[in-house]
Amino acid sequence: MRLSTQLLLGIVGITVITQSILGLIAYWIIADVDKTYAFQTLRQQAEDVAHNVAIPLVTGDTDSLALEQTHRYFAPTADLSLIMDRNGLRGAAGPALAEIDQASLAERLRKALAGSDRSSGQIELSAGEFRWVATPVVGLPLQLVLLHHAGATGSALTATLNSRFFSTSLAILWVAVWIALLFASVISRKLDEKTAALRHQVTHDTLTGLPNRSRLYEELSGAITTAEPTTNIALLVIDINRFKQINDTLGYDLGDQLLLEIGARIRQTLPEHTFLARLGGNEFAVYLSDTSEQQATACTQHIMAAMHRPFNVNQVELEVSLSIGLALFPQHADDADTLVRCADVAMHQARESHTSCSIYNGEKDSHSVRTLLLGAELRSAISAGQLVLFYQPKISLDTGEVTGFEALVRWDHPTLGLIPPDEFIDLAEQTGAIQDLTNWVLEEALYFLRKLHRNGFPLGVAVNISTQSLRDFQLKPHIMELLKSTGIASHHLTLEITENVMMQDIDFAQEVLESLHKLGLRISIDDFGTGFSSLAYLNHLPVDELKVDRSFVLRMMNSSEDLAIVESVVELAHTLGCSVVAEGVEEREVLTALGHMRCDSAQGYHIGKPQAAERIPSWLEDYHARMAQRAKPCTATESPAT
Amino acid sequence: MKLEQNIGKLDRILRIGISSVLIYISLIDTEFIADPVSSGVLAFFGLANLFVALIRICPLYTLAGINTCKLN
Repeated sequence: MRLSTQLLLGIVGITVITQSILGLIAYWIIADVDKTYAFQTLRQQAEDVAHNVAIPLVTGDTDSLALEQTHRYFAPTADLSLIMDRNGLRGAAGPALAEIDQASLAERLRKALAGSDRSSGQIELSAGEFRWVATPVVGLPLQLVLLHHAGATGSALTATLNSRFFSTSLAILWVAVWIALLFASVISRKLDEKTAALRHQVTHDTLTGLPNRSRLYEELSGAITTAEPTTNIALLVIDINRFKQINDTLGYDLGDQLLLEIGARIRQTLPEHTFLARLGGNEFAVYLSDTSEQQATACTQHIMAAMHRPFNVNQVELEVSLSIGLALFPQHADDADTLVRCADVAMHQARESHTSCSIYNGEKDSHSVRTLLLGAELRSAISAGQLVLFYQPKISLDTGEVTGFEALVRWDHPTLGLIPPDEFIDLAEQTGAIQDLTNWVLEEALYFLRKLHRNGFPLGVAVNISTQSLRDFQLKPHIMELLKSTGIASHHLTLEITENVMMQDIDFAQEVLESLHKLGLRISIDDFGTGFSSLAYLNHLPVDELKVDRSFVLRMMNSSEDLAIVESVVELAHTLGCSVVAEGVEEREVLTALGHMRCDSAQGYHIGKPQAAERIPSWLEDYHARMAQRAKPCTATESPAT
Repeated sequence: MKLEQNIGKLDRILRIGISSVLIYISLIDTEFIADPVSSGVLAFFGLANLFVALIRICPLYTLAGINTCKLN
C-alpha cells in the first residue's frame, strides 16, 4: 500500500473514531436534555390540572368526571391523570385509562410517594415505561398524579438537535477527508522527494556526482539479466596511475579537482547515455551495452587519447596516465560481480605490466585470486605462527668450514602448503606487512643463532632486507635491541640487499647502509650481476660481501661468458675489498672451479638445502663428522660436500 | 491555466450517488430533516459534489496532485 494511501486512511480513520465518540456523547446529552424537558412539560401540565380540578371537585362533580374535563383541557398530551388521597385512588382520567390497571398503579404510586420526598419518576407498567409527576391539589388533601409514556416521540428540539448533529458530522467528515487527502499527498510527495534525494546520495558519488559502485552493480545486474544471448556488454575499469602521489604532494583538494576534471574528460569521449561511474578512490568504470570487443577497445583508445593533453588544476599542470582493464560479458563473466572483478583484475594486469590497457586474461587471473587471498591472510599468518624460517648453509671455500646460514622465509599455509617467498614478499610490501615480516625474520634468525652459539657453533646468519624495510626508521633500533637481548655480536648478522633495490635510490641506500654498517653489521649485495650497478657508487658503499647471482653460477660450467662473469665478479669484489659468495652451487665441479677462482664462500643444494631450524644442529654435526673423516685424504679446499 | 480532468469513472459514480442521496434528503423529502440549517448544509455538500462530479475536475485533487482517472 502506498504511503499516501496509508496516510489518507489513517486520517480518515481517526476522524471516524473521533466522530463516533463525539456522536455518543452528543446523543447522551441530547437524551438527557430531552428527558429533563419532558419532565418539565409534564410537571407544568400536572400543576395546571391540580390547580383547575379543585373547583369542579368542590362543586360536587364526581372525582373522575371533574378530572376528565380538566385533563382534556390542561394536559392534552399526557396519557393518564389520577386523583389520590391517603387511602388510595379517588378517580382517574385520560386516553390510557383502558390499558392500565389503575388500582394497582395507585397502590404502587402511593408507596413510592410515602417512602420518599420524590414527586416524579418513572414506572414500569404492562403497557410500557411511564414518566409520572405528582402534585398536591390546591386546597384539598388530595394528590394529582400525571403520567406520560416515556417511549413517546421526542420533542421538536430533540429532532432539531439530532438533525443538526447529523449534518454537522457529515460536514466534518467531508472536510476531514479533504484535509486527509491534502495532507497525505503533500506528506507523501515530500517523503518521495526525500527518498529520491537519499537514493541519489546512496547511489552517487558525492564528489563527482557520478553513479557509484552500488549503482553500477544495479545497472550491470539489470542489463545482464535482460541481455539477449547475442548481446555483448563491456566493462572498463579505469585507474589513475600515481594518483596517490598527486594527493600526497599537492594535497587532497587538488586531487579532488583533478578527479572532477578527469571524470569530465572521460565523459566527453564517451557516446551519449554511456554509463560512467566512479568506483571510489581513483577508479572509474565505464559500462558499454550492446558492444563488441573492437568497439570497447576503441573506446579505451579514445579515453587514453583524451589524457594526452595535460590537466591544468589551480595553475598546476599535471600529466595523467591511466591503466584500463576491460572485461566482457558473456566471454569473461556471466554476472555483474564477476564482470566487475574481471575488469578490476585486468586493470591490475595493465598497471603491473605498464601497458595502458589490458583485456581480462583468465590464465593470469587464477594467480591473482590466490595472491589477493594470500595478501589478506599474510598479517594474521605472522601472528598465527604460520611462517617458518629455513636456513641454507654457506661454507668457506678456503677451509671447507661452515661460515653461516642464509635465513629463508617460507609460509606454511594450512591449506596451500609451503609457499615460497617470491609469492608473498611483494604482497607484504604492498599491504605494509613487510615491517612485521622483517622484524619477525630478524628475531627468529637471531634467536636461532643464539641457540647455535650456545651449542658451540659460533656461526653467522644472513637475512634478506627489502627496500621498504630499509626505509623503515624503526629497523636500526629494532636490530640493536635484538642484538642486545640475544647477546649476539653484530658481525654475526649479515643484511642482504638485492642489487636492484640498492640502485633504485643509491644516496638513500648509502646513508642507511652506512648507519647499519656502523653498528658492525655485515652488508651483502644479493643477486649481484643481474642489476645495473654503478661501479663508481659501489666503491663508496659500505659493502662487505657480493653474492654472485645463482643464474651465472648454474651456467658457468657450460657457458664461457657466464664463467667470465663469475671470474670478473670475484676479481672485482677482491679489488673492492669484499668477499664473494657464489649462490646456486649444485655440482661438485662448480665448487672446485669456484675454489680455483679464489671465490670465498659458496652456497647451494650441493652443500646443503634450506632446512628447518631444528635440523640444523644435526646437519652441522654430520657435516663436521664428514669433514673430519675426509680431512686427511682431502685437500684443504675440498669440503665434505664435494 | 487549463485544469485537467482528474475524476475517474468509479469516483464519478460514487460522487453522483452520494450527492443524489444528500440532495434528496435535504431538498426533495423535506420532512426527512425538519431543521432548515441542517438541510441547507447537506444541500450545499450535495450540490457542490454533484457539480464537481459533472465537470470531472476536483480542485482539491488538483491541489493534492491526485488523479483517479488513471485508476480506472
